[in-house]
Amino acid sequence: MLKQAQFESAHRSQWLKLRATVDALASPNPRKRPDKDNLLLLPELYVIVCNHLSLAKTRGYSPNLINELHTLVLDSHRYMYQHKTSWFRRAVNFVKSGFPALVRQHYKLFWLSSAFFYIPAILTGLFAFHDNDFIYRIHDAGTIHSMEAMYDPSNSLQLRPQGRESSSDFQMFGYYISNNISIDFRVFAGGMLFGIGSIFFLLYNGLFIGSVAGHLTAKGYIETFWGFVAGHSAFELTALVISGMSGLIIGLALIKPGRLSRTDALKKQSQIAVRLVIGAGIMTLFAAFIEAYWSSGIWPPAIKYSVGITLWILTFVYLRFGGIKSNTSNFSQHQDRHES
Amino acid sequence: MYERKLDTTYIIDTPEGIEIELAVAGPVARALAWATDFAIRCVFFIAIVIATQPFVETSSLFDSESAAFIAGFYSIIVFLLEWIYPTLCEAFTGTTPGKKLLKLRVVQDDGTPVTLPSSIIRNFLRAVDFLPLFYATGLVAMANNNAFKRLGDLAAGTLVIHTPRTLKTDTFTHSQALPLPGGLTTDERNAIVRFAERSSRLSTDRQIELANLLSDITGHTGTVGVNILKAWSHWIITGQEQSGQDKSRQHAQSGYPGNDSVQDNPLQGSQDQHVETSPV
Repeated sequence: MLKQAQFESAHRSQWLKLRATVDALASPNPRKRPDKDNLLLLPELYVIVCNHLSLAKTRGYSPNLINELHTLVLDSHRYMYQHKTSWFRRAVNFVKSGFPALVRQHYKLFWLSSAFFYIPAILTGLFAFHDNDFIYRIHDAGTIHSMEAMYDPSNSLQLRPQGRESSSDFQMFGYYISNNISIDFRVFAGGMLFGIGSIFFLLYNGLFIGSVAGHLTAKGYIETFWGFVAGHSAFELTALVISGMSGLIIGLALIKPGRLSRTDALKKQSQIAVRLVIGAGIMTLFAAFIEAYWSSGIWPPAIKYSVGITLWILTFVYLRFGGIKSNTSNFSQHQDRHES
Repeated sequence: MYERKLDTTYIIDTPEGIEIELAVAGPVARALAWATDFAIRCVFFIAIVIATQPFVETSSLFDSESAAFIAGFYSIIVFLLEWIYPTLCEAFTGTTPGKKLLKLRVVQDDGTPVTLPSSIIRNFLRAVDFLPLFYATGLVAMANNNAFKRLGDLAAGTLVIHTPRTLKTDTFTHSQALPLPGGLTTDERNAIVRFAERSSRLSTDRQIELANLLSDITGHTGTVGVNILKAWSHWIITGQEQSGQDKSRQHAQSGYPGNDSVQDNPLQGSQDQHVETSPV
């Protein structure tokens, strides 16, 4: 059996070489990163040093040497097996096709999540529309009063004859971002409570939005309220439903893990859910732009409604057909090449 | 001889048939890291408030325009600090400033660097781990698995580990090699080498105290026993009967200057000193 000192002197040069490569890879300065030739040495050296480590362990060499080799293997392992991502390309592909395809793939949960949101919204909306006092069961008088003041046609014309100032648009943009996107993220996190947290947020928002809409419509604040919400409603409500979906996916992984262990099911489904909630967050970001800079503007209601309807149609088309077209065109290109 | 320890070590099997050990970080270190990050976020926010103070002051209460602009700006900063700061820090550097201070790092549970989706999952699920107060749920979750994973870590498949020590400075220097007596097992030989390697970090008294435990084998107590053990480990490692010039054998590869040849002859170590200092 090779003595430890001989073993060390025979192989130390390789360890130093691997150490130098790994340290260079870890360097924050891109100019110090290893060039291509050195990089190609990494896998080979890594396998050799792994072998040395197991030799050192079985031969019972000293703990210091084993520790040194172990640290070296650990550091190289990080680079050998890191999950490489070109994030920009992936982001573009995700928005273009990955996200809508993912929503379609889980369309049942999309409709389930929609039901949790829209059914209470429509019901409370109808109640609040027919019964003027119904809304007082849901909100306190102060909230209702400020809501009414916000959308009172006489009031709003008086307060902002030229629409809001641009800086207060920015204020609302900041508010919409921090509030609405945070809600999306919390709905996602609520899935961890076996989905109950997500369902709670969906029901709660449905009750809130539905009752306010019904109440204000009954009061006759139609153009101010519906005109305001028309523009951003498509993105914002759909994003809320999709973040609800992401929470339901996590909840379902815990309730119904199938053939996997609960932990494995959770790990697997979380990777899907996180993509949905990121997509929802991006949609809400767009909604915040629209809400802050378009919805508050003074435009004829007809224009606001048609923009709103157009955006709903766009949202539908995006989610229903996004990512399909590129596949078929690839397919037809492929066929063309085949024929020629 | 490499047994599973009753420890917080997390072991990963790599495709090369090697086991990698990670030291998983417990609740205390992680709570401290979180508190540090929280402080950093607070300081950052206060710094921004102070930096924008001139704009707030010049605008009177009725000048709602700039006040509104600043309020919107603050909202965005708070949102970024709450959700985006830990996520991006971990995704791109594997750690946050607070974790870095406590020498912690986030990795996937196969030991590779944390990915962006996993970083998002673990940081967004903080909202649940925090419930009902101060990460109570997270703490219960951490107590219920072998890797201190809170719910966010379970879902993301991530671990928080102590950053591995890169270099140990344990060097072992000795001038003489003596042949071992027969009949020692690998574990026993290893214990002897480990003793010699650790000796630079032990006081002389402690070295003697430990070596005295083996006085049955070495036949000596005190400094002489210590020197015999060191000479044996030199022999175990080099397998040579002393090379006169090789006075200080450097064990770890660092350029650490070994304390050259403390004693020339192990059997000559001052007996008097031993009598004075021996705890026995």
